[in-house]
Amino acid sequence: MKPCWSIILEDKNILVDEGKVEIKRDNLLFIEGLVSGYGKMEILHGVSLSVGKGEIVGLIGPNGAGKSTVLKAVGGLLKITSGKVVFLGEEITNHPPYQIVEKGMAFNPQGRVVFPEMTVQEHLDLGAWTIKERKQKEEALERVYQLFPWLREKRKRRAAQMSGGEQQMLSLARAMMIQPKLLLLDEPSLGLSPKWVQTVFEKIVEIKNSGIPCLIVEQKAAMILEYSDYGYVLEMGKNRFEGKGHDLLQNPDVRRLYLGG
Amino acid sequence: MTNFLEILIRGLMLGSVYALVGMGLTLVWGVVGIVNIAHGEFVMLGAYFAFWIFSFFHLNPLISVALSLPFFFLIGTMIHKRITERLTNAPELSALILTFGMSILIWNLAQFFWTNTYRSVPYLTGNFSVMGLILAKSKTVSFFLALGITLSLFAFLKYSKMGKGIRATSQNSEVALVCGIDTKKMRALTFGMGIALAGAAGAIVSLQWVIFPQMGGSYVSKAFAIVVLGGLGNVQGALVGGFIIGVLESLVTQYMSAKMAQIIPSLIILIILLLKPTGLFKK
Repeated sequence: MKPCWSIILEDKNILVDEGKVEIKRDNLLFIEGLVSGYGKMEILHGVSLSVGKGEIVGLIGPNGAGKSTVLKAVGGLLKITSGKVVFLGEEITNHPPYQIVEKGMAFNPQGRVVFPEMTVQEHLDLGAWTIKERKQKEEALERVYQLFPWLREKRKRRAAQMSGGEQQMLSLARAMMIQPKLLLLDEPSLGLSPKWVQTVFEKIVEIKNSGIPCLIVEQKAAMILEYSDYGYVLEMGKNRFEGKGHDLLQNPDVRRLYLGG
Repeated sequence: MTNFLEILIRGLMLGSVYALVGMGLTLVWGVVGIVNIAHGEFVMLGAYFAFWIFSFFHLNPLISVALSLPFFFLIGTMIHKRITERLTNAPELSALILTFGMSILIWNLAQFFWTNTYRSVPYLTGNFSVMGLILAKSKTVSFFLALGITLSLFAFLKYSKMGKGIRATSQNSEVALVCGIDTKKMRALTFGMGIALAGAAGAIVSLQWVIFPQMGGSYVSKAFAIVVLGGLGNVQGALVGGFIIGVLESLVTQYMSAKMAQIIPSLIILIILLLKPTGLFKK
């Protein structure tokens, strides 16, 4: 058995097609050497990844690997102590969340994703918080209702009266209000029935097909890699593997370590 | 019967002012996460604010009530930025200790500068007589002032953009952040509003009762009972809670004794925490 630090010391493994040295991807989001954590507790010890145009990028790894921490740091919810985040060619390292939202990055956090005592309509209004023009707001609302038609009938419903799956969809709809250029999703399948997981992922693919790339953290590793154009495996706050979603799924090491054989 | 109705109305009028104090406490507690033991001291400062304005400038006390809102809002946001903001992610005990200290400091300073003399604002004496009911003018005016402020607060929280942002911050601050809401600013605004409500309540109180440096204590204990009754962070609940406390106090004072009325808040806190700790209106 290898000592645990040997994993950290190993170079990250990049899986590439034979013959090609690197995979060309246009970078929309580009993260390099990210170091972050909660207070004095450092969780990420230098994570690098990127999201290209029109991609679904899956971020997987065991519990405590720092997957959610990456999203929170990128979204401005956690302080970044070292490294940089570049979004649409501009550095956004340690910018406050509202500036990052204004730039077009929408974030759907993990777990409790709604305001329990607010109606669907109020959620969507709040999703458009950073939009100043009234007309733009109305257009956004119309677009989101087209993407989620069933929300229109439930617009007076309070979130607390909705099922977990409906809440997750509402949160997705809320995030879509800013017409994002990139969507960060933290475990969208958490606590949902298989049927709802299916529905949520179909919606995510629909969003991706409309040209909005997604960076998705998932515990359900095999499933997310199935959907992903590109994937990263984190371990103990560092990059471990990366490659095309399909290649990662085929890779014996990844299968053995993270996909349960 | 007329007598009973009068006592009831007196209770509601009393309750409307208590509700103002309670709504400020519950708002700050629910949104900012700070249990402000010093809340009652701002009621006292509000009362003195109205008193000094009346003594020095001979301004109509109704104007002082209007002035107290922006004045104490500014004071509140300043206190939050300088002092209480650092409590945002601290354990609740830190807030308790800090605001407890703040409370002692404020009323001692008040005692030092203004002495223990009882003071009052001699304005609006006499009674209205409406349909056979005799109602003190000062209390009737206070009631409508308190109600006006309360309804404006409700409308602000329900319909304005800032109000929505404040509610969002209180219900789920992480999701509020990712909506692009500056939750730090929302907390400062809320703290300011809480203090403004306490200050305005104090200015209203000065119309009807004597004021003295230690008066804050009785208001904060009532405010705690109101918060417990209405549920933590529930502003509408606090209004109902205020009315309940006011009416009970009025009834007990009439049919038992004023001393007994003093134990109502503690009794209510005890009973509610035993029977329904989430408050009467848990949705």
